[in-house]
Amino acid sequence: MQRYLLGRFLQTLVVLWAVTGMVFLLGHVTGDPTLLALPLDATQETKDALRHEWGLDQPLYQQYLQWVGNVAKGNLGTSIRSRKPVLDLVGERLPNSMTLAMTSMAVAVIIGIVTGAASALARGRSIDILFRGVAVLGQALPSFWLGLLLMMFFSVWIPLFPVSGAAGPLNYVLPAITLGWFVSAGITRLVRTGMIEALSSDYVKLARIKGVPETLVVLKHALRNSLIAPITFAGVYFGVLVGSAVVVETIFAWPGIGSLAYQAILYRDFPVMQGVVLVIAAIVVVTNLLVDVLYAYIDPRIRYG
Amino acid sequence: MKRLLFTAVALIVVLPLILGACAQATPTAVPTNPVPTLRPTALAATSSAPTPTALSNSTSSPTATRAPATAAPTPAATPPKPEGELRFARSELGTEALDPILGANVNRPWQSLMYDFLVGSTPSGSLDPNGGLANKWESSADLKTWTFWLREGVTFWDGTPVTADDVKFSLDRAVSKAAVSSGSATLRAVIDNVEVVNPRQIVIHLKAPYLHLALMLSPLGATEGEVVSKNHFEKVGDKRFATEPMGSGPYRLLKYEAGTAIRLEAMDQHWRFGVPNYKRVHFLRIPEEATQIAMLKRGEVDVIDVSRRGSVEVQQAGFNVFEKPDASVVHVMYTEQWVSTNPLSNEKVRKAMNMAINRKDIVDNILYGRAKITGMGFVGSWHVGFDESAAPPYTFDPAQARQLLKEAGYEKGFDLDVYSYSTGGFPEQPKIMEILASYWMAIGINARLVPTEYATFRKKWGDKTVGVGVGSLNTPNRLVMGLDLILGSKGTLTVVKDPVLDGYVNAFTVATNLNDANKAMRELMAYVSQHNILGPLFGISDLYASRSDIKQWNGIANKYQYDPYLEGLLRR
Repeated sequence: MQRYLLGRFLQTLVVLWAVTGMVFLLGHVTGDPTLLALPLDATQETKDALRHEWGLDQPLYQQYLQWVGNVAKGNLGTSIRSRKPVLDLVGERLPNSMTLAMTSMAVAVIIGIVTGAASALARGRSIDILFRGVAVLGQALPSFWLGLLLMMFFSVWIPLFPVSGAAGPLNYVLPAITLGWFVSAGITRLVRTGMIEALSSDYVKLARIKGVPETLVVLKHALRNSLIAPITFAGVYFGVLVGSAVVVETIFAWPGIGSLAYQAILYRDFPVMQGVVLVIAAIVVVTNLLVDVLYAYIDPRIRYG
Repeated sequence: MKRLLFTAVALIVVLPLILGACAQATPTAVPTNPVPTLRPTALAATSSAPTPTALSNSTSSPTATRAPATAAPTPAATPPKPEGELRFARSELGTEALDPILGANVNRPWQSLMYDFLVGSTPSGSLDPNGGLANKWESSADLKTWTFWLREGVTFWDGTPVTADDVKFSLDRAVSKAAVSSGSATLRAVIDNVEVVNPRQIVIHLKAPYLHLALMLSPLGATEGEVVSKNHFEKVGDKRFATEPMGSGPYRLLKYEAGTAIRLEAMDQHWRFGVPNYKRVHFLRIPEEATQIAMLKRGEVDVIDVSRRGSVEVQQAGFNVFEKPDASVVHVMYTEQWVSTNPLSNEKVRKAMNMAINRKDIVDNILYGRAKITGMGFVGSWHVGFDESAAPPYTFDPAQARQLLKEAGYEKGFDLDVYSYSTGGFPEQPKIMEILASYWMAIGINARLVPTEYATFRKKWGDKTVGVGVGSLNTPNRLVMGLDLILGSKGTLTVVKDPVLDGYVNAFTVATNLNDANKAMRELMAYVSQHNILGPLFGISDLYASRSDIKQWNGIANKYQYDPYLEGLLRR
């Protein structure tokens, strides 16, 4: 296991280097942040002074190496736009994104497992058709449309939940449902497929023959063995939820890291762009690693090292 | 039976989704008597360019600190205190600059509450000796030496007095290389040095005569006139000052949440404001308009900025809509007109393109009537010397347009890139560019829509690599523009290289009295119009929607760039 983990750690470093390098390059070739930061009538002298202050007058490779060196010392740079340290900005926003992602994932897992299992047990019946239909809707509905609809229904028409912000528990409900429904759709389908396969397997038949209560057959034997694929799915999507919930964060004015990244791209705020990408990439990679380790716990047949 | 059950369940689930998408939302609290759109009752805008007050103001002696707005209390009465909160949702928070020299005028809404300007002004466009730190100013006859006398009794948020040293410090910063504010380039070119005569008097020495100095240091200019605390800056340093500023305005910075909110808290008493109405003002970044409107309906915010289209919905829902007319000017840029092989170098081609546009149609159907057709691009109606008669709007005449193209030798048209993007505060911009492309196609030009980002187009524009293409610009209306930027041959973003036009630009810049400035401006406008140098479209209004009990917004029709003049809601 230690060899496996060491290998994955080295892979992580390579992935992070590749991702940040790509973002660095793409960001710099798409525009000049001084054009957006300065008024129209700024002189060339002012532009040059600003470019020098931000280190943009150095060769690209030198800028990148400088950034890498600073990152190694724990310094992600200073935002061009807000003049705040990138680490502070990420620190302010990341907890909001993490809590929203965890809440959304909890919603998705609970709904996905329950509906997936129910669908499998009631295979071919109306409940199965209904839950599969809901799952398809979840994957088909654009999140911005769903978010706006939920907002209209449950914040304006029936004022149960706040429209925006991350002030309290009620603020989480609508964004979590919007994000979670999409993910739950995938989990539902995967749990259903896995359960159907498991329920028709020989060991389940044997358990039934031996007189094991049906509840135990379903929960302990069938469900547990059908969780590998959904766990992979959920693990991969957790990272996506943390960093890519831009649309939902925009709709609900959620102060998360996705909207921070979007603003950084819009305004060519390179230090923030690179810092956020680094953090999100790290989260995705670590999440995937944790998922792989969890495999070994769920399925004793899987061994690493 | 099972099929019927399934169909019923499916309908129950799906139907509300469809109905919800189609139906209009109703507000949670609808006034029993819907309130019509209100125009401000005080300080209405005038259509002519403002005449700044005399170069020296008429106050004979320094004005005492402004008395509180409330009546003198009886000995036993407790003076009122600011209370409550005003929550203002905006689609963007400008560049979120809290320091006057670090951002453009888009940051004015909060900065104008955090700082006092050296020179005061009224929202209608006049300089005001009662509204700024200087209660008196005068210039030498040659306009190269300007003296300002400061009022007594003004303090920063920490209680330290505002002195001439702070003013000098602020102005020195405003013209330093670190300054990236809207007017810094202009002032850097004209200000030589600032001299402190005594704690209540400064003298600004200019490199060349400049008629508009007082105006540029007032709210009618940019942010360079905002005064900051020298002591505080020296205490916290340059980097920290950007997020921990110190001003003398009626509101101090409470909290800055980057990308999310700027929160201010009222001083109990202010020399200019008296006792502010609200204890706290929150500027919230809510990028999605539907969310803003939902928050307004739910009572989570009090004021929102709203698009022309969105204003219709909120008005129907019973909320008040306030209009700041002519807040910005939209025009088409015919770039690189000096390239002889470029069809846009031909006056007749440009005129044809201008005459092919049905501006009224766009104003009525896309802008919901919240815009005014103009005959002059880049420069708005507030500009010193603006004369509508010098540049009348173009008529819509596609037949004439085709004829002009034929006369220019482009009967079969030509390929044209139409760059489409959105700039701040004007979400209709891409749609309008699409419509313009269709008008030009109707007269035979092969217009190709190029959706892009403003940042990308801006780079091409600055690098002069647009080629046969047009872009659009939404510039804020203001009293004095850097005209050479787009119209001067050496302007960094110039569209034309014309020595005659350079002469008019220069004549305005060096004018030493208002008559000469007005004359130069009229001639410039007439020349631009006659030679079809720009593609003028409209002056568009900024709109704000408020909760229904806010029935009046004094000064909303003001002449401040990017500034809704929240003072009109915050002053008692």
